[in-house]
Amino acid sequence: MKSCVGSTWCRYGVQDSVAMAIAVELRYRGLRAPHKIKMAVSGCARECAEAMGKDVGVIATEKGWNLYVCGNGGQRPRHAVLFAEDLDDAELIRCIDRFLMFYIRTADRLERTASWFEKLEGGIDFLRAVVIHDSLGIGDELEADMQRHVESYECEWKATVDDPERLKRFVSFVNAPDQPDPDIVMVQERGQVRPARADEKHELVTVGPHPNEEIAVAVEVRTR
Amino acid sequence: MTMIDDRSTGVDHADGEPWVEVCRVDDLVAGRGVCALVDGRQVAIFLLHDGSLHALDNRDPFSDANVLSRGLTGTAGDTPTVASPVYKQRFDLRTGTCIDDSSVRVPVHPVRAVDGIVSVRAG
Repeated sequence: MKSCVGSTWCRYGVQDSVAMAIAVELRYRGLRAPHKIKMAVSGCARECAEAMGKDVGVIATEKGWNLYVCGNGGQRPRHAVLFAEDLDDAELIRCIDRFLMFYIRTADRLERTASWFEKLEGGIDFLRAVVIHDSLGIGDELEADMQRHVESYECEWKATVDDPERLKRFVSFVNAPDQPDPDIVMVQERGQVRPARADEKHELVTVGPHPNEEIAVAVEVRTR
Repeated sequence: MTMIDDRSTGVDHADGEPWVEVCRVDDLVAGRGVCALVDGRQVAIFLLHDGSLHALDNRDPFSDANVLSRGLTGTAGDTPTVASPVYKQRFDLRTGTCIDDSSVRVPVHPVRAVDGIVSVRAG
């Protein structure tokens, strides 16, 4: 999720894009999908968040939000398509809920929204019919699916840190859980540690324990 | 970590190279790997969903890092594989041969489960 600074900090902003970006991020975080999903919210038509290059792009208007879908950046850039105009907050979220779930249900594995859309028979009109006018009669189902996701979300990192059973998977050795990998040696670079490259390792000398207890030994490159 | 009681004596020399007990089968998660330290050697051990056990060196020759136990398991045709988490080359779990570069091979080791205890022979 990317956002511009919005009406809170920008004289051009017509909506609070930061608040909307946070709300959308919190709603869809952890969603299992055929591929990664990128999103952005811009607070005005100047589009500082580059929402038209995202799978889901939201651009503020005087009256609400314009929703763009199926954009892509990278090697095959594609501008997102204007899907609906001047939505209020609830309409916006309902559209994104249905759009994302319809994509998740129908796309191939590893298919981004842009290539999914290019293959979608009927194009944007069909997509609008399904999502806005519920032409397939699955709108409630798609929303319920998304609601289930929202309610069942847990931060997998935090859940792991809080669960001794899951934490066991993160030891270096199953039969020596307290022993770190002796092959991992660190060097200092720009005041930070990083793993030594192979060509550096033969020049390394141990200089003692590192303040980070996870790293058993800190080393530095021997000066010639 | 729940451990077998005394792993330093968990050695059985009956058929040549010693079997070294490393963990319980219950410590493994199907479809994933763990790494065991066997006589200074890092051995990646995988339990697949079909119940089979596989063991190969933990060192990924492409990145020169001890990471193969953290790789994603899968299949290439009928061949069970693990893909290095660094540059994603796949290795045949049965032979250690790299699927993506047949000139590269990592050592494989015998692995077995007896009475719920996983043992490897890593000579």
